[in-house]
Amino acid sequence: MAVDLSHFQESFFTESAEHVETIETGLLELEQRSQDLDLLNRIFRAAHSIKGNAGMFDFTAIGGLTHKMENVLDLLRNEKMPVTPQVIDVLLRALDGLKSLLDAAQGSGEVNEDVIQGLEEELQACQEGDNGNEVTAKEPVFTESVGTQADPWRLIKIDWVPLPELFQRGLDPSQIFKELHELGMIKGLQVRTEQIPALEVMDPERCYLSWAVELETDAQMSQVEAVFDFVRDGSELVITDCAPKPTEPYKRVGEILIEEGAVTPRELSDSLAKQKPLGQILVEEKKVTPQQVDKALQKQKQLKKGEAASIRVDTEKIDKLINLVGELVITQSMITDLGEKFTIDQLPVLQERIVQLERNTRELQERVMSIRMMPIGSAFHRFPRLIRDLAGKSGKQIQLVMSGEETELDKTLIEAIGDPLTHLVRNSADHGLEGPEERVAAGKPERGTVRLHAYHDGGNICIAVEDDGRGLNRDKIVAKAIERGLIADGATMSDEDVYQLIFRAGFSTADAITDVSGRGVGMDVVKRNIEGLGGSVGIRSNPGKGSMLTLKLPLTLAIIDGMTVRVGTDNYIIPLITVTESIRPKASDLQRIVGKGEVVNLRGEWVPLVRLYEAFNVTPEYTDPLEALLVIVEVENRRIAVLVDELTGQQQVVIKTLEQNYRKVDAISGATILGDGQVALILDVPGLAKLARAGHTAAA
Amino acid sequence: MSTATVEQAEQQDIRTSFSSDDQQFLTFNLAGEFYGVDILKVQEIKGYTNVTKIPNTPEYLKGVLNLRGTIVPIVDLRMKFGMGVTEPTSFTVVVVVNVRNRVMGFLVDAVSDVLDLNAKDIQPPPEMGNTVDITFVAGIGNSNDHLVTLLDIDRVLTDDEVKAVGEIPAEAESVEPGASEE
Repeated sequence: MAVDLSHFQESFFTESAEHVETIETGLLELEQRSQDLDLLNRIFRAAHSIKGNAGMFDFTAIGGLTHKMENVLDLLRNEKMPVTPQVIDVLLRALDGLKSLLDAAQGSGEVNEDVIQGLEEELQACQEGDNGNEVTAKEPVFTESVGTQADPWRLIKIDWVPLPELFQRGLDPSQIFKELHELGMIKGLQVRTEQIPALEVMDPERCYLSWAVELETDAQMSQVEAVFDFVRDGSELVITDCAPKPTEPYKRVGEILIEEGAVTPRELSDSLAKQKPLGQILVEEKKVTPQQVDKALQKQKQLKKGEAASIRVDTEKIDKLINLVGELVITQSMITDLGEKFTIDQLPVLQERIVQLERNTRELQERVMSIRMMPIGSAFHRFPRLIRDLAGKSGKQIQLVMSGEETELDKTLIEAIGDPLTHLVRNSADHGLEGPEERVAAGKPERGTVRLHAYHDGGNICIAVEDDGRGLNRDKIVAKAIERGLIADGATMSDEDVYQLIFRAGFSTADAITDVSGRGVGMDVVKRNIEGLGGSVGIRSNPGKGSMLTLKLPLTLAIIDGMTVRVGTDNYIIPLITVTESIRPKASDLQRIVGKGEVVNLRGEWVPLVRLYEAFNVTPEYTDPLEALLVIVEVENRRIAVLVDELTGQQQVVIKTLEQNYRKVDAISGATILGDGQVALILDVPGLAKLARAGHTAAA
Repeated sequence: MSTATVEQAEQQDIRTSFSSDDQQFLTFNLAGEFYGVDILKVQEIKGYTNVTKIPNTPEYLKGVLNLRGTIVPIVDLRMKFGMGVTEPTSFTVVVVVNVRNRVMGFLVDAVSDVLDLNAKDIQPPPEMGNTVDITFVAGIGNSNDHLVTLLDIDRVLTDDEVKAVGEIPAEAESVEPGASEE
């Protein structure tokens, strides 16, 4: 009865991720409100669900670790153990282990078995109360409140080599088996008699026997372990919780080697530790650069993300949609009805119904869009933990204030901003905030604040990361930029321009490079990622008072802000994000290089000029740059000047693909439909720059 | 087209799939010549409105149209067949066809009729030598007294653009050697 579980595994991972989230936020809250029994119960239930599901899918390691966590949580909720920061710490670390196990089960990343083992031991220690706390709960765990849970039926393998003096202590092995039998069914029992010596040397009071038991049970591990409580001392006891036989036994080489006794687990893990990721080896052999590896890894990650894209939608949202569609159908039939026997005096009725149709459509559109919308809170949830860890590491006191978590934005965007946002929060906490002494000296409260705030601003969503730390040091940035040759010495720049320098690649002014941030990679990546999503990064700083970075993103990837430009009779859309300014040049600002390539002087910088009518082979109104208009666009830190007839406006446009029915066109990223029903093409600025370059070389 | 025709067309489809007996073609006029396309490939017929030109594309690609929110490329069939530019008149229409899940529009001078043809009335395309490219001609039919060139709509668009999709059989490479140079 081979059931294909892979289909369900997908939902297991989704659900587990949710549960892990619940546990994490729960634990962090628990630290503040240790008496909150509801909260504890919620955490416990989440852990329990993971365990239960893991058992169903044969993820024994996940089940095992969660089980141990659950035991500790149970003690906490039965008030047999106080909630201490240490316990929370252990649980949080166990949770990290759990995450890595889940990732590994999904095929990304390897799990360090030792770490998991260590975590399990820590949890065990925690549970047994010898983690330094005076814990009252010394009693075994199987006294758990009734009805809370039963583990799934599975096989438990017990390998028991008792102490030779077993009999002398008055202990009876058969008693053990009786007890085991009460817990479940003994499916297999193997008695090993190899140790029995020749009769003449045998000590009848010594125990030479050892056993291997296969027990099928739904009892908890702790219950099984408790059976051996009296005989444990001096025995060699291995109890393995194995789930039912996997339908497709897959074993790694190492596991097989261990089973065959060729290596010990220890040897294996030592050898495995020597393994290096392929990327690292390639870098060491100088075959690729670390950047290339990073890029490839990024790509891999994206590909992986692309695989599973599902969305959970409130049934309420769907019900509303169905209602709306119903209304739409009614309106439509009303109009049809009217159309069949229409006379001109019914015009007001028709108009009224058209208005109704409009209303229906608009509402439907909004609702459909809202399905893809999720509260941004799900991107924020990781930060309390991050801040807690950072505070612990750096010895700073940090308070995280979050607001606007309910602000909704496109699901893909939420996923995409996770990493950039993490980077900014880290930066704020790590570089922005000062240590406690420095803060007190500056007359600020000892505890620093990092504020995360999300809000809507027109068709955009803004996420501000603000700290009340030292702020950006303008002089230092300028000095560094000059040192790096990014700007000329003595150049006058506005504060905003100076701050934007930190987004250049390889730029870091951090005095101390910590393992958290300060390596100079990152801010440029942040900026690039955000711009890739059609957003922008703003920066404000007040020396000594703090700094604020604002991410501004479109609500959805399907809609962008565009600037409409006209060339001859054609309209084109330039993504507003790329437009920096538009100018009408003076004759003296225009130059030709080797007679062909045109450049324009933009306050001392020579910027290549692209005549859109030339690139697109259309008839313009003006060919003379002095009459026409130059739109300066910037992309990837390079500027080009685009010659157009005029700017006609600015509007939000819905991106439609050309590729669906046609193909990719050079320098065009898509099309959109204007208010009058006409199609306008959206310019692909980097593509345009490339096309212009190609055109020049072709002409030369 | 009335509902009855559609049903008929559907029945036709069922019949053709078994016996390839009768087939229906939408016929249209191009510079005085009659052409026909399999009616089942036709999605709709639309009046000609201004299109948006796409830069750096072959000349026969008039541009794109907004068809209820979908961007549809429009091919000037006259130009595609080397018969000069279509000058829009009040009869000029766009025949919207569905080719391999792509929606495309053909600009034609006028649509004329729906033509029922029995398989035995369809002649194979004549041998024209190298002078005329007729790879996209499925056959020749007769309507009343004039000749109707039946187009293999999938082949008409078998040029470099649709090739990009990678669904075209290898022999199609030779269909429009001129197209890639345009």
